[in-house]
Amino acid sequence: MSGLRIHIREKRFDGKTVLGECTVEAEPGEFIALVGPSGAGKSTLLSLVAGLDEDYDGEITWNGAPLSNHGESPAHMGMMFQEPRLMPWLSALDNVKLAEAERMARDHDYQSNAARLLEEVGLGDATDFWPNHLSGGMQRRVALARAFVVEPQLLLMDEPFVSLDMPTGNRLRRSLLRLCERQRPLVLFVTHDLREALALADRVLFLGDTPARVMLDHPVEGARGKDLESAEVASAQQALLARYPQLLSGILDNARSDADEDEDNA
Amino acid sequence: MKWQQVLVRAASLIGLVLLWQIVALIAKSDVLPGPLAVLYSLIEHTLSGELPYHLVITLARVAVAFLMAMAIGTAIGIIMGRYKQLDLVFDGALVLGLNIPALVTIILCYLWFGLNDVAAILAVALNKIPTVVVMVREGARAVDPKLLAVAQAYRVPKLVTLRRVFLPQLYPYLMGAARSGLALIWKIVLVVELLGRSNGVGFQLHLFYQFFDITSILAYTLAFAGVVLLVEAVVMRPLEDRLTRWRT
Repeated sequence: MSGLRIHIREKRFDGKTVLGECTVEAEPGEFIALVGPSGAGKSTLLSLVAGLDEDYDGEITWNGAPLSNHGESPAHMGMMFQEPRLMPWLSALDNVKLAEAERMARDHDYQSNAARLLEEVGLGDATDFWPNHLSGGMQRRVALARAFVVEPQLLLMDEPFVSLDMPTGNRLRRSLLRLCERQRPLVLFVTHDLREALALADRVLFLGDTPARVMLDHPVEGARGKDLESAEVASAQQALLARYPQLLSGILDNARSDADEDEDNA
Repeated sequence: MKWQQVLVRAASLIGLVLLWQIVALIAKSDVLPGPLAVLYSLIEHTLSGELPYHLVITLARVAVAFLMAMAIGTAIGIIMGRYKQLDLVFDGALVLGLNIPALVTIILCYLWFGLNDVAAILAVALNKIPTVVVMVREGARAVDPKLLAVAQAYRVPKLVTLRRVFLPQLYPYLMGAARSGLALIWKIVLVVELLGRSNGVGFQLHLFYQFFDITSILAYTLAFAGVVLLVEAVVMRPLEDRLTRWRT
């Protein structure tokens, strides 16, 4: 099969199970949002896919072959973390180039795309700046350029736009979608903001329960790149929450199971 | 701002020389010659070529011992900071190394390896390595795993990771180790020369001590202090500025 297949049987931290039976399948080019309350193992799941943590029971494959092996992260993978995580002693340009180091070591004729990507995210005239001299939004742009400079087939994003003001966040989301349009990576986008998930993704997976698992696989109607504050997103959100009132707390209880519970209690 | 700093530094040095002159005038004794007498002696020793000769030899020993101590100490410090098991194994030896008197190391090195430069430099380096290890280990423990995760996620080659992700986080600790290291090594090299070499500033000081030539002792000390200040101003401070530019 083509694309990404994640099958986790169990992931434990210090003897405590943080991820239970968990299966995610995704096609190349798909944009998938992972939504769930904090502590639901969203970030953990991403670090397993990224090959940053290999201590789990399960398989993660890409086109049928193991995605990463022996502590080595997959090739053509871009990643954005909750913080920009730039090296403060490297200029914006050198930070992006750092992600190309592996490619440069392998292919001596390789021409760096770092400057072009910084240009594309609107930082063409800030390439020589140190991260300390950039605003929070600009630092994330550098991190975004770094994620795309490796020409990712797989893009992992761990709440990358959290704690930004709405206009800055919107600009970054537009930049992200524009870059995705060209390179068509498979995106796993972790967020706790349901509106952000519904506005960006093709499909939203809800994590929750203990131990955490994928509770609900929800296809999103309409094209990517909706406005977070649009009526379309608001009504989609309302419809979901009307059906599963405690979805964002990690509990899947639709009207029917509520009724069952009431009967049990009576 | 920059000029004010230079002025303050100069004024403090001039004040020190003035104080010296005043005390020498009050003492009026051969035991404390004044700054001018020492300056004449310094010029004399320099023109005869003997001071530059011994100074260069001492500086060479300082440089070799310093580089050796920094390289070995940094390597051991990084390893001990990153691997808890090895830290446990070597911690006892480290505490021992920190507390062995310099004189013991020096005498033992001379006894074991003979009265030669290898023994001399080894003795100096051995005295310094443990303190470098302690400081670098502290830095290696403080290295941010989040930044290392970035390097891992982007498959940054090991050497590039070391140079661009790992070592920059150690620079403040390495600068601290280098500074305190130079200060310690200057001092120990002279003792090593006094005890078992037939050249170098330490050997000369020993000679002057036997002749009760206080003026020459101060002249050599002055030359030495001059070199230390020069190294600090020309090498250490610009290097530190360069490495920490991004903080501004």
